[in-house]
Amino acid sequence: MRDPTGTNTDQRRTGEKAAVVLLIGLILLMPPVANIFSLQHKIAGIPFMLVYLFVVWAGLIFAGFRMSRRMLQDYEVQRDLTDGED
Amino acid sequence: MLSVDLVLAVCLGYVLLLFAIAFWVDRRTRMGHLRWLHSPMIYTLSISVYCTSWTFYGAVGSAARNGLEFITIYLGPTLVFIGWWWLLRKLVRIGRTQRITSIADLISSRFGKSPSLAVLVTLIAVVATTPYIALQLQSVTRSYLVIAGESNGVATAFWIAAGMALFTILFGTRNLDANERHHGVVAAIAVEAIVKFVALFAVGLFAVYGISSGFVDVFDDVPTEVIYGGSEIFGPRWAALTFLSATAVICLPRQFQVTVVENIDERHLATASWLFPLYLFGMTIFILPIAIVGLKTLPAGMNPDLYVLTLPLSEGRQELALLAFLGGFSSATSMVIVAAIAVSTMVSNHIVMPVALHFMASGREVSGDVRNLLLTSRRISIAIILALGFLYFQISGGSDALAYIGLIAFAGVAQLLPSLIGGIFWRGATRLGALSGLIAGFLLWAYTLFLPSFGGSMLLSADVIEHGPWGIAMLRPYALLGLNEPDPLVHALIWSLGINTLLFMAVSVLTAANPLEQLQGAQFVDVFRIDPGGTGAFNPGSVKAEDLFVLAQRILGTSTARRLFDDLAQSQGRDTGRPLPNDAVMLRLERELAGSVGAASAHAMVGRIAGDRTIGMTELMDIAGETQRLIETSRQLSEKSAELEEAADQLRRANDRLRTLDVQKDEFLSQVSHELRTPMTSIRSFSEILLGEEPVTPDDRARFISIIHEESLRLTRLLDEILDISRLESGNLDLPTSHVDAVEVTSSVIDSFTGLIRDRRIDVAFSPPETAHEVLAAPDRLRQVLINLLSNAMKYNTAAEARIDIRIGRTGGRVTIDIIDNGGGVTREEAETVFQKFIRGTRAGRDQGAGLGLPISRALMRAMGGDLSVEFTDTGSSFFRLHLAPVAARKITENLTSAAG
Repeated sequence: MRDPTGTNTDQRRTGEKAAVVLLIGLILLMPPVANIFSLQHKIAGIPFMLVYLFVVWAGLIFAGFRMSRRMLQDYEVQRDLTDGED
Repeated sequence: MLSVDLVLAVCLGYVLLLFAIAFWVDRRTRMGHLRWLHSPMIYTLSISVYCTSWTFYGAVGSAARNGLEFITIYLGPTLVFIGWWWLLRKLVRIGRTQRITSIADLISSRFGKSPSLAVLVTLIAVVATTPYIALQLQSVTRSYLVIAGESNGVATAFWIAAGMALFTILFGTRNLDANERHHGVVAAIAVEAIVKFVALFAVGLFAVYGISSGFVDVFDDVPTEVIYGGSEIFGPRWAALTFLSATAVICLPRQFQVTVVENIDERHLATASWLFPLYLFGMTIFILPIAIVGLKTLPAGMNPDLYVLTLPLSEGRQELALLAFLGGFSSATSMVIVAAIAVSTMVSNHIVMPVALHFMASGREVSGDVRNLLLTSRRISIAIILALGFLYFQISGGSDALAYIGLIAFAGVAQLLPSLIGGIFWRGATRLGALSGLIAGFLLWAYTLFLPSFGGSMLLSADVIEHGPWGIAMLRPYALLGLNEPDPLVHALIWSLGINTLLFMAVSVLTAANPLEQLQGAQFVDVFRIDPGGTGAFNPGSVKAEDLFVLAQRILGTSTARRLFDDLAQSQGRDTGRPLPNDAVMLRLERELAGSVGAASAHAMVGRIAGDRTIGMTELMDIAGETQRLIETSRQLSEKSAELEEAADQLRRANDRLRTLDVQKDEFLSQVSHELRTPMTSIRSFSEILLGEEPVTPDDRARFISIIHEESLRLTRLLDEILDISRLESGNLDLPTSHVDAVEVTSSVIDSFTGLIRDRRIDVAFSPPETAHEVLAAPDRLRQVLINLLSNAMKYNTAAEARIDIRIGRTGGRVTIDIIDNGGGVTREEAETVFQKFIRGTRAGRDQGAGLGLPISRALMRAMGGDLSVEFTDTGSSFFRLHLAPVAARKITENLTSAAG
């Protein structure tokens, strides 16, 4: 994939991680993989499909949370590097 | 049902509260006090303008009809914000460096600040936004009718629209902010985001735990069709809807406004990347339960779109119903306000201003009050957009066509996606590519989705929708060219976006971008690499700083313009006065103006003052861009490494040479000491004999003394030679040259050998040429060399009948003296070594000279500008050849004439 930020390796890695998360999200939430999970069962009284969707969704949000912390650290590093430029 | 007065009072109070917040925040921000407003939380909440009343009411309706499908509308944005935030970050960075005011501005600016593209995108935005605004008006009106029991929907909608217009005009166009930011509005939107979230969450909790007894109860004995909405939920429609919502969160004018234009700090995006999906998660978690509880408890005929409101009402929870109403009201107003600001900015910047500029006499933009014109045009635009929304609502009001308008609008703005993504990632995208893609996509969208959605009441008749125009089945809007796709939305997406993308790419590949397009393209694609200082190329001679200032003053306001110009002057190192209108100043000014009037208009305005704009070399270098820069760097690197290799090679060679020289020096020293030792030894031994006790006969004494004398002479000669050669080699020997006749010198040298020639019976053949051969040489030194060569030829000649030929001639423009003897000569292998110090030819015996004669002779010849070499005849025998620099022919004639005179 192309370099999303072009500034340094750490940021590119963060971008690459995001792309991987995007890919995982797409695979899990889109057909045909999602169809595998479209079962008739219920978990604790809640339809399996509903639980599945919201769990994947929550997982994505958690991954996003972790990546955003990384992203903010990158900004700190960048600000230290280009001190007082802004 | 609540009393009308109460509902109106609460509504009014709520609106007043919003006004107060917006007013207060605007004021505090202007005073520079409100730091907490610059928080990622506010930013995220403002992005949640994505959740309109279509989410608040419509999602429950959709869940009741189609089950889980509604989730796709929130999965798309989640995927974009979590997995593709760097796209958003790139948009935000471009927005900041290029002072982008809207999505139309971004696309037009990218493709060479093209006015036609700006107008086209603005049109698409207006067409896609108007029904969406109508949808909001409808939602608020319907909910109001439900909660207050009124019946005059049209009047209600009118007053709602008017109120929204007032709010938008008041806070959306208070001033022309340089960056088109509206802090007051954003704060109000954030408050509304909290209200709608709390309201929906409260209703959800009530439905699950108030009406039912927990989730298990809600989902108890619910048929799976209700949840899955059909046999196969994860089909093409699921993917299409996710894709559409992902596109919408990037391309919707209002989303672009809050995400890109209103962004204060790029870092806020990092927080929003997970917080916004979390907000959506919270918003949707209760939607399906509310729908199911509604289906279970409410009478079958009730509109599922209003379950959020009717559920609390039917249970007699009026305060909850009021909260839900406020939530819906918030969703609708925030969408309408932001959309109106975004679209009115486009309309006034890209349609009204260019027209006004066109009709203004040249120079008027300097004298006329552009600032007021701009504010007025923007206010009128807001009013017009809301009026259009209201009109649309009135024409199609009540019809179910509106229910799907959200998705249709999504598909409409999705047409902007290829140009947007291509524009910021693909340097080769051109204006014509974007134009053709957008036009084709827009027309196909209108034909296959938008117009048929009216069910025959707009442009296309029901008959045309059913059977195609003129009965041509191939042209049926829902089955174009016989494409068999049961879902009209998926069908329309395939056609419009497919052709759009295809044309965009194909035309881009086939057309060439003009220099300004290339420049903008490079600045957009490489926004993270290019110095935001920017480049530009105006002809500075034709620009007056005062004109620029007046222009800036008219548009930015006096104080902002003054600050900008002071800043610019200071950056040029000037304490007073106006900055020099160079490229950087012009570009910065254009950007600042673009923040108010859009890139195309700003470019036109500055261009009018600056005159012709030409692309300079620096810009072209920038266009050449990163790829070329990388190639250049790697080329320089390889050059560097080649240079290093070369240097290392040279060092190695120098080292080798030094080693050789060192060895030669040692050899030379040992040779010199050896050569000195022989005569010294004999001098010492004979002098010891003479000094000794033993008597020496007078004859012996005389003989010994003469030997000592001879050896001393030999030593002196040797030392002289060594001195000569070291001087010659270090270049210290100064040889004054003069015009010498080579024939005369040769003859006199041969004469000096007469005795030896006679003694040794050597046959010397020398026939001096008729003419003089004038050369540049030091006569004594030339004589020395000749003597050396001749004596060698005689001394080492072992032939029975020794013979020496001496010839003078001209070879290759030089005078040559050949000394040819029949004494064996030197071999080809020896040809060079004979000129090395202390090397004697194979035919020379021991004790016959120190081996310095030839090296000295060659060094002398070279010092005189000539040379000495060993040559070979055709038969393989060798001879020595002296090369001498001739005196120029003119000089000879001069000499001749002077001699004749």
